[in-house]
Amino acid sequence: MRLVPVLRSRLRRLVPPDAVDDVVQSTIATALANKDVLEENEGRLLAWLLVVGRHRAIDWLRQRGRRPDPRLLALDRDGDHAHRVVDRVLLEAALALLPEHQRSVILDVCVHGRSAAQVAEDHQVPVGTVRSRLHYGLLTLRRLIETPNDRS
Amino acid sequence: MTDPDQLCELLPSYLLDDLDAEVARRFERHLASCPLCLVRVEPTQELLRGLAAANANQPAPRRRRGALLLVGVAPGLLLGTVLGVALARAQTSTQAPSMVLPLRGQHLSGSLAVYRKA
Repeated sequence: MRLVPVLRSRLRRLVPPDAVDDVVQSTIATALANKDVLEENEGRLLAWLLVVGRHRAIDWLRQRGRRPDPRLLALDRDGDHAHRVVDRVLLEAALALLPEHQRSVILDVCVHGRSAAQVAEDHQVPVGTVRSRLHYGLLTLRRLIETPNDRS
Repeated sequence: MTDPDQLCELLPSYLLDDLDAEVARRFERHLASCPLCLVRVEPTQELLRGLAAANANQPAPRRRRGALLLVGVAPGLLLGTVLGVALARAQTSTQAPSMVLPLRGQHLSGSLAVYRKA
């Protein structure tokens, strides 16, 4: 599989060099467990491997008592994409447009780093509701700050 | 939890490493067959980074919800302007930004103030 070297090089950014093999192995084991589905969608295999590999890297770090901030851990493409962060002023402006129930969940979880379970308890709603609000809130946020190529 | 739509909702939680191992595995299987989720990974991570950075840039002492410092008028106006642009871009409707701005202004102090929440 030629994809493995790519996965390996990306993972080097997240875990120590001697951990890369472990994380690659664990990622590939997951890929094999989902072989049937992945075979039907081969063109997306690399993208999938990178997302799952990142997750395995977080697992690895956590198991060893390091607490990575998953909000900041990215397996970006090289170059211009590497440290792209959404413009903060735009982000705040867009946040202000969200319905309160979505905004408060996004602030609690994405800004303050609380877990969905904690937030669910605070607001006395099911944890699934918190995850759902998070998802739709982020989608709306994304739509609001998206920049078209030409600003006519 | 077999509803694909419901599984799509787990993407941010998965990226935030905020799912039980078993649910995370189920999501990974879903991710293998859902192009929409895969396409959303990068923009979602970008947003998460931006939101985390917003917090890092504004280290505030621990405060309760009621004891927030409100932001001045000038930043509010600036935001309003930016907002008009963002809205005009985001919406394909024919609504003029000038009609939208006053509506949106109501929420500005809330959104900024809440950053100061501990």
